[in-house]
Amino acid sequence: MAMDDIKAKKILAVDDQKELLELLEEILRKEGYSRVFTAQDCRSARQAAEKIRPDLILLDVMLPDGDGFSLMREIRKSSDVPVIFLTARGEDEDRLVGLGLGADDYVVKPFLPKELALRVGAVLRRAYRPAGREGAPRFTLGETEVDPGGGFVQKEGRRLPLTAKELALLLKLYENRNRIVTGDALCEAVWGDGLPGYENTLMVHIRRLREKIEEDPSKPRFLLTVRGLGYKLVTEGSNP
Amino acid sequence: MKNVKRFLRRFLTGLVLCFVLFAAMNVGIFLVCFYKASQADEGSGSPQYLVRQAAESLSGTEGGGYTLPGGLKNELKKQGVWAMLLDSGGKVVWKMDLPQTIPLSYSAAGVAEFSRYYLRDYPVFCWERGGGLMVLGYPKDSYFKYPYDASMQMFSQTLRWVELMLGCNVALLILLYALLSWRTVKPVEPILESIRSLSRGEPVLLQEKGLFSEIAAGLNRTSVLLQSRSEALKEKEKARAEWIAGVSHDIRTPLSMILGYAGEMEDDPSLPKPARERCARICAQGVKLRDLVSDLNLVSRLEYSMQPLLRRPVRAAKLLREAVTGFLNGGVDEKFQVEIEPADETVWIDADGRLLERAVTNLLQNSAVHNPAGCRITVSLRAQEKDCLLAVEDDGIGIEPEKLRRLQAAIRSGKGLSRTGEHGLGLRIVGSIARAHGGVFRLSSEPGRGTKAVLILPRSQTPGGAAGPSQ
Repeated sequence: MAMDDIKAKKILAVDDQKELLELLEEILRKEGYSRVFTAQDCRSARQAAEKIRPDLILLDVMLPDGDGFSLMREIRKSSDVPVIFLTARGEDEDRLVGLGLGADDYVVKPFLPKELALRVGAVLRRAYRPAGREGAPRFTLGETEVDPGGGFVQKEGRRLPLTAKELALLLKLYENRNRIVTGDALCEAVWGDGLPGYENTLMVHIRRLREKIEEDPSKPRFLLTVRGLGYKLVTEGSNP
Repeated sequence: MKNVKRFLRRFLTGLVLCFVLFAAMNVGIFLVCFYKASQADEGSGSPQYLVRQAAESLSGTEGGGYTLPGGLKNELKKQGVWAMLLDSGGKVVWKMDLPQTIPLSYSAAGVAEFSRYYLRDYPVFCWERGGGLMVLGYPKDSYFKYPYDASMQMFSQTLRWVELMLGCNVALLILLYALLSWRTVKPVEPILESIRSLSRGEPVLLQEKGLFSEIAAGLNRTSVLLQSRSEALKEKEKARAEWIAGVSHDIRTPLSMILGYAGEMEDDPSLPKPARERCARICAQGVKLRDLVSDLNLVSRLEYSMQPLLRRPVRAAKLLREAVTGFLNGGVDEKFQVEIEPADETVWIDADGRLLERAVTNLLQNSAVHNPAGCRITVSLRAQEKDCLLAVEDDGIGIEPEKLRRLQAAIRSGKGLSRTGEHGLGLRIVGSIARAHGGVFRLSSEPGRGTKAVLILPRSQTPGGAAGPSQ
């Protein structure tokens, strides 16, 4: 997907603090988002949502004439616009998780500009991804090339097909590349269930995956075991 | 409190015992006196003795007369006793000091009568002597004579009556004791109960009447006082927690600005490198400040139960893996080796997973922060019947005993450290989280050997683990 498409999205930032709005605007503009709008209370936010039809709303939880939660519910009646909450850490975060309000993400105040930009980009990409399986891009592990869209691995000129489970495993690991992913998280991603009962199955799948992506499956370079915890897909240096 | 009842019972028992002693003493005195008196009656000076002596020692003289030994005679004369000897025909054959009014001849009926009662108002005592009868007559009104006859039936009945009487007495005594102890202990019971309640901090309201009305009134007043105090204290604590929440909320926006602009400048290529490095430092410190404020807020919310816990069954082993993974993924220097021991996968806890994970992460960070030279950190889970032990152990430099004591006290009481080291707050959060989950947090350490932090949490009672691996 072309990056410019995302940067052209309309973003509405709602916060009662004028300075914070200015900061948000500046951060987003610097990131390349050219169409940033602001509102300081629920009333003007409602009007702006009507008029501008934003593609993403950054919403503060505490507003002078209402709270962000009810405002979102109201807006969601007429549109499916993704919403990122700006929360005061500790209290609202729990409410968000607990109530499952359907927010796309939340950013805890105070935040670093990079953090905010990352989350905005991620939510926009997820929400406005063109149809199809293009979501996961091709990537390489050393000499091996992985094509999630095609569901195969290209190694030493041979094309090795991946099963659905292997692909799901590999994608989960790739999403968290260079980070440890617990066995529990992998099982939940692939089988939708916890680790006990799937331990051996997981090990079998990891071994098969290694046979396809590693040059020497008994001495893995990319798909590493982290004892007692889970696995880690190392791509550093191979896929900048 | 049982002691009070025991004390009362003992008091009553003592009282009853006193009665018994009194009775025993009276009986004793009576017996002794009776014995003494009867001794006097039956001893060497008694009429029975004297009459026997007289009968046996009266000796016949040559002229057909009789004579008493001098000693006995004197003794009789001293007591004013007269004497006579009747022969088998009822005739007086010998007499000594016999009053005029006493006849000298008796029919069988006459003998039978006086031998049992009086002879002309003289109390007389008789003893048989060789077919005759020796009679001693004592002065009038000196002895009371009453012959007693009773059938054996009546005698045994009397014995039964005595038994019955004694039995009744004992029964009455026991009844009285039971009644008294019941009457004494019963009104004390609500008072003891309310004192117990007070010590648990519960309100009490006693009826202010009866023997202990004053004590009841005092307890009621105390209860009201304690309740109002604890309510005031709660209000105050809540106000403080709210104030902390407010302040930490208000700090967020200015901190957002600081972090936001410093972060921008850090990435601004038009700025010289030293300036950008300084901005990076501002950012790092800003993040620290942010964490500190939110920690402070979390602690205060946990302590004053303002933090709603989202408790769900959580697999303890999984939670530990996630905490360790998060810690490692956060970027940990290679000088720290983190190991996780294989653990029982069937241990479930009813917990707010995020909070508990945070507690474990805090412990891991604590080990890392306080061992700048690096160390090995071991994470383990041990299951007991009712609890499970989540332990984070390191082989680092440990904590000085003095500091350890202060930390332990702060963790236990949940009160502030007078001089918090930099990890005071972090450990307090762990302690608060453990408490909020109905568990405890224990910290132990040996300088030079390492530190061990253990979270002891109750295992889930619902068999979440037994049903299956779903969560």
